[in-house]
Amino acid sequence: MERKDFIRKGLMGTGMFVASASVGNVIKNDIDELKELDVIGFNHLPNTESKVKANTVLHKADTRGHANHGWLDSHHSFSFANYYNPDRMHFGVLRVLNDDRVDGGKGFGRHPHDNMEIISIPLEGDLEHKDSMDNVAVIKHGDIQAMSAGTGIFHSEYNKNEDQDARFLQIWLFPKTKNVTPRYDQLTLNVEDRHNNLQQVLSPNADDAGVSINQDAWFHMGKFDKDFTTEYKLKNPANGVYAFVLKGDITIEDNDLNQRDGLGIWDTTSISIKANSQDAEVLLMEVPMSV
Amino acid sequence: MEPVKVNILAVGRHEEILETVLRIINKSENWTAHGALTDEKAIALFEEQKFDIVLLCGGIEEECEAVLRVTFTEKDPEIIIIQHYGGGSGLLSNEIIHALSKRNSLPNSIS
Repeated sequence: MERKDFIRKGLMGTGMFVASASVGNVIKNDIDELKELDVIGFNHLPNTESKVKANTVLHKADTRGHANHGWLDSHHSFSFANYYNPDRMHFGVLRVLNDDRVDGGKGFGRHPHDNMEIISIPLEGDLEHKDSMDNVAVIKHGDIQAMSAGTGIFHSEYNKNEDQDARFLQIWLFPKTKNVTPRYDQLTLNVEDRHNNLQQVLSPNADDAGVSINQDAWFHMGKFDKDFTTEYKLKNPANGVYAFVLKGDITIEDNDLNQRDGLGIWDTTSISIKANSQDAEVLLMEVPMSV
Repeated sequence: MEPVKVNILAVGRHEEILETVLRIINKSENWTAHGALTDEKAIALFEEQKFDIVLLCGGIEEECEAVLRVTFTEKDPEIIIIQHYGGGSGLLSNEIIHALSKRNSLPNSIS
């Protein structure tokens, strides 16, 4: 693993809070200039296959919210932007799971964030990131990026390549503590380490494997041969696990899942996993269930 | 006769983010927003006009938030006070719509 060295100076100490704009002025912000889409109403895609049990929730891929802006095609596992479904607000502290495709050369212009743990996992292509902490980086498949937005940051994200789509997961967790000093972390992972193994890619601890965030959450990624089985033991039995299938077919606790299906489980100490196709890939997100 | 807009008071410490929040809210034809960077300004605005929602944005110290919540609730027991997370367009509409839907589902809600 290669932990890249980035400037991690906090905004509070840099004087960058002395914003030049006054309240009342208009600040150009490309992210908010997306063409308005029709409002998506309640339960516009009913989850007719839901197998909600006492301690599980199933989100099939085709029940997710969908917004196609042309240059950006996004599927939302939870309510986001103009997709609002009161039954899909969050899973514990997991608030956003967006599955995004961005056209070549396009992207999200400079826009703000605060009080959110924002994790980006590129699946294909390269994303160029710039932020108000002076971080400039390109993240690609195999990398993971984490930002603690805390008291406030501005950043932009663009598809670095003009001739190739970029696909990535954008994941937001409610922070453990509000108003922390903003920070940025990025890591290049060895994807071979997740072959028939659950590779830890995120944790609350800076000295543990993966990037670290301001929340008691652990993420693992695995890529499995057909019929491979394993078990994930929760770090904290009070947490829940939201499993998101990146590729192929996987059975988790007797729930047959296909590509981009999501399954949330809580009130358990471990979950069983079985790959039903070759090179099946999964992302496990263990998160506190109390917001 | 124009429909009455939902009036929102956004309080936050980061000037540029607060401005973004106000701009996003005011883009909606059904909502209108006023902003305050300080507690004093927020309370003054609250005394001047009737708000439906108070949106607590980033940077507000814990103690200040507690005082604001008590002050607003004492002045208007029906006020909805919500925390805004994310600092931009991603969750803002969701948070407001969700708060309004919860209010409207209450037995004594005003449609």
